[in-house]
Amino acid sequence: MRFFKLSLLLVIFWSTQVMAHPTSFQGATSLMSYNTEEENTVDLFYSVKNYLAVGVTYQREDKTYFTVPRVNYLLQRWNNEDSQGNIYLSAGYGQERSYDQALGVGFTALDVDWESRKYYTSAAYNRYIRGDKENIERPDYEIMKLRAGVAPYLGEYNEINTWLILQTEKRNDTQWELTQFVRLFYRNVLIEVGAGFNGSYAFNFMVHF
Amino acid sequence: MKFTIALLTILFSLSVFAAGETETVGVKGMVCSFCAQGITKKFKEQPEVANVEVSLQDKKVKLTYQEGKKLSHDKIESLLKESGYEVSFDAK
Repeated sequence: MRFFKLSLLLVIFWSTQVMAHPTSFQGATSLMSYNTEEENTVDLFYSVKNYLAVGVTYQREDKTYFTVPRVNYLLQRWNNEDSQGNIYLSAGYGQERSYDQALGVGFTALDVDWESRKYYTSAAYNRYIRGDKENIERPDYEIMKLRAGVAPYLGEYNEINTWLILQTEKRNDTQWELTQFVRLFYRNVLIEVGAGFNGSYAFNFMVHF
Repeated sequence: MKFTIALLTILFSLSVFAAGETETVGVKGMVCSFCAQGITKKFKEQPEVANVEVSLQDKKVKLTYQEGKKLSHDKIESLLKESGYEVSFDAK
């Protein structure tokens, strides 16, 4: 019970972004969350069409906070007999707050994924476009993620689905970091618990309703 | 007492036979629970549909209609498209 309450608190207060799902079925609201020691991100999207969603991303990176209203567009989907592939583009403009200073910031993202019931791969590139301010150089902030996963068994819609996922991630001035995840998936709720090879942790959450 | 049992039996029988016909359609790209959830939600919003069953294994959706009602193939295709998927009507 204590673990359940702790998990619920983590979801509510640490909510974030991750697993590429910028658009969903028409009329769907999606809440996504990605959390590590240095980062907390929350994405809240509403799919106007299955290929178009509007929403907002809130992201904390150490002591920098991004709040960005954005538009997500499903550029291409391949619906195959046993698999699905997607290319998404996103863009937005919002605010970056750091050390009591608030500045405008642009946002672009590219998400590509392919998955079957057994295998899953994805690549994501996010870029916060800053621009210089008063002769102070403000380099853009980039985040790159690559993921691959496998389902140890094939679960049905009414069963808990399990995935084992490996993720590598790079930010502006960091090395590529490797994190292993266990993903549990039941109907419209997905959670991921991760452990980095450097001792870090991660907790992700996604729900569509 | 006998009358009550007989009445309940009749009402139960009526409820069993009240369900309409079923139709099974194949769905391309339906590989995860999120896909199935969107499709289920879309079809359950339709007044013609009494029940929706999804099989990720078979990549099929089984629709049970209300008595005397049915969705056209165009409507089914449109609902699946709104969910982001493609239909194939050759499913048995």
